[in-house]
Amino acid sequence: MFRLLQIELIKALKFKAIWWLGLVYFAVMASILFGVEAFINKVVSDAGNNLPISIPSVSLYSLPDAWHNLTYLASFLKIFLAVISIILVTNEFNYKTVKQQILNGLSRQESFWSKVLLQLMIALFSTAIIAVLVLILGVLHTEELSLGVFLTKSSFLFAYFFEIFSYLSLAFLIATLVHRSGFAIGLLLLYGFVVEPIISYKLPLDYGDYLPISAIGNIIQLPNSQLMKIFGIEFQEYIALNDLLITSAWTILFYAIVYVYYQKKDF
Amino acid sequence: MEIILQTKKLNKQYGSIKAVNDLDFTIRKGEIFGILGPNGSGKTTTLGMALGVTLPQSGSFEWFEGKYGKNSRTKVGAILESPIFYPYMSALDNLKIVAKIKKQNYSDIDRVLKHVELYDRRKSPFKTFSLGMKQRLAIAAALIGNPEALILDEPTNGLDPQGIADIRELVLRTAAEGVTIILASHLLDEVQKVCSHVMILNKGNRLAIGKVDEILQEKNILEIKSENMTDLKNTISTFDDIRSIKEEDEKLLIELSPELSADIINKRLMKKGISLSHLFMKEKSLEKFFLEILKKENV
Repeated sequence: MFRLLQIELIKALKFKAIWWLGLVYFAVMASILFGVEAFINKVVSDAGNNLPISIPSVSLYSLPDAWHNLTYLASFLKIFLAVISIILVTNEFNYKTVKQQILNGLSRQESFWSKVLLQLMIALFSTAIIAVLVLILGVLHTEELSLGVFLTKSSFLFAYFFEIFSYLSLAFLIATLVHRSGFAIGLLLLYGFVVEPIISYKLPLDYGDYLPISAIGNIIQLPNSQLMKIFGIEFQEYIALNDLLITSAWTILFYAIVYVYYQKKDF
Repeated sequence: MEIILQTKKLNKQYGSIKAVNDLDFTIRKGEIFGILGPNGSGKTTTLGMALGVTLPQSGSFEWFEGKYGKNSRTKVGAILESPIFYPYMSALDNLKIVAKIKKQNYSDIDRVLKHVELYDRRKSPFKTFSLGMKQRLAIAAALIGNPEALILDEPTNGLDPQGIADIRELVLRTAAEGVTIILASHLLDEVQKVCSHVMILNKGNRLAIGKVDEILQEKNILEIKSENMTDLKNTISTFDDIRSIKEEDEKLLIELSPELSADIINKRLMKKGISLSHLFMKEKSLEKFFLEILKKENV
């Protein structure tokens, strides 16, 4: 396993575009997380000027709620991670190195697992960034720090990792099947923003929640804010087992299809 | 001799086209085994199956009599078609990946780079290499981990005469170190110059297999007949420049050494008082046969 990890690391880290993408991802993520609270309070206070009641300003950064608030926000940037994954997966097909690796003695299973490891590494990389940012912002903005505020709701960090890993499984599947990075990124966006919403709309009841992008997005739901509480709206402030199970099923299915592809393909 | 690769009834079909048809062959240690055939004759498909990138429809193959089990593939260096590397990486980084795949130490990399004379260019990106250098790097990659067998598919394709000479010299040098070479080529001349053994393929079928000097040699076969066959046979067997004598359909088939001709044989027999009732020069040369196949393909 460690050997496959090393192989994937060499390929990824020697590829300049990956450094740029990673850097942009980090910069965008950091500026959103650092700027979001001020932005929301500005919008809210501007809107509140004309209201009879004063709206309390929100604090997104205080622990333990910061785990939920910030992982929720960060998950909107997962398309960056999908792009990184798609580029590294389609590279192997464009350069035909997926074939050469097998000629060099890598088994078909190892080829598959090395790419699963790549998805894991990308998800871990993103989770680590989030964890550091949440901790920095949390420590700066939480009045009473205790072990409890760090641990409560830290399960959102694991949920975040799982959400990214699942989303990458779909990106991996599309990249494996179409071989072209631009095409794969386009398909992923088209499916997420057009195809699935249409199917979801056509389906009766809330069956749309069972579709992959919805299920993945449902793991970490919109955090409940003081603002929303004023309007009496309640949101899911925990991670539901149901969402994890639906997402797991899709993730396993996507990886299974790719596995079969790696086993049966004439490279 | 130890068996390097053995196939049994290997089959591969693409749609309605039989790419490889019930192919059996055995390659032994120390051979430089050529697979000769025109484009589309099934050479690459055959090698692809033995290397695991192409899945056979039926049939089987075994490397090294199974002695390395699952690890057998790390004992085989292979280049199919063009050299394939990550263009954005240096020669050195590319070989590091190969070394990892083959479970070898990085220390082997310097050795193979020197072997193919690319050590000075090891830090240059692969994409800056000339075709000849790329081909040599591919050979270097294939040599990592001291493979027992080296597979080369059309290794001189697209190279200039100097590049071709370099690759051929490299193949012979590598073979001299005890590595069994399997070389696929559509060039008769290449197989004759480099290989010790050859299998000729056409449309997925094995046409011939054996030692190069036996199979690709020009064979002058003279078909002769006389009233008194016993006399004829006894006389012929006294000529020591006749390579072989065979009786077939009441005729004698005699294989002549290159300097002999039908004319000389006839004169000699006349001197001995034997007159021929039938004299026919049959050139049984696979080379001619092969060239004819190639000609048909090119029309």
